[in-house]
Amino acid sequence: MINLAEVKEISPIFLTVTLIVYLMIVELSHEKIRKSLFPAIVVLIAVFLIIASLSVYKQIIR
Amino acid sequence: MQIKKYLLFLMVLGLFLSEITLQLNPILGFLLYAILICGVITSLSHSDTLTSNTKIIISFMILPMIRIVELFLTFDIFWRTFITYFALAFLTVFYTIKFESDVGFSRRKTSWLPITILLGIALGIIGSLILNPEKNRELFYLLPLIAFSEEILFRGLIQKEIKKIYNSLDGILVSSLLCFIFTLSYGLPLALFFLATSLISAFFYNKTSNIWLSISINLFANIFLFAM
Repeated sequence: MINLAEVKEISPIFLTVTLIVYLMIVELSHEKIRKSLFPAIVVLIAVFLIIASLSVYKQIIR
Repeated sequence: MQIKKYLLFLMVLGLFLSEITLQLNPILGFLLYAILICGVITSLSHSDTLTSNTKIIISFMILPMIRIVELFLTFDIFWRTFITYFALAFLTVFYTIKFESDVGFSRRKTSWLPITILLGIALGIIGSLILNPEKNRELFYLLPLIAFSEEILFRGLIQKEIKKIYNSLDGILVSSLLCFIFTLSYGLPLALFFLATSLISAFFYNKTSNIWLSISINLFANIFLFAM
């Protein structure tokens, strides 16, 4: 579900699915690695949240 | 077990191709970067200890994440740069502490500092005269954060770990190539300028193991290139 109508605009659904896949893989890994990847995942969640909010905001404005 | 050298350069090539695709088609580039991050996390999930290999792979993963942040946040340049480099600084500082890496916050060879400052100024002036980039004074306040986070990532985390496994030359080459890929979004001439700056900075870091010298080259080159 990627919105190709406008460049630089990505569907929040795609971002959510990607994030869930990442979280699943991280959850399945060893505890030491999981702890190491935690901040990276937090940053990804924050970034994806901002991108998704901007995308939704643009669609509401339109 | 260490990563084979060709795999390391394949990872660099993967990042390069993703970056080129990102420039041509942001959606496809985003997809490639998302797959790349997925691949990195999957390869890490098989590991159970933090070896030099896993440290290098995690450091590599920071780059696509930061590129996604930079490209897809549609704020004005100041806030976009601030958020991007704040995220980069957060991750690099966290991993420096987590990996217990001695990135070089030391006073070793501080007598070289005037040389590196002058070198940075000279590079910035030469770059400014040849490339004449758009000056943006509001970015001036962010340049210390940019120089600090970039140098910790490329020198302290990537170059140092690669040097540990392979040799100094590979460390200098790979970290500078990654810096080149990271700055490709500014255009090829500026990216080549940053490649040259990165090679010089990497050389000094390799000789002195003092991160402040690398930061000073990066900082003064950027100040004279973009802000003055």
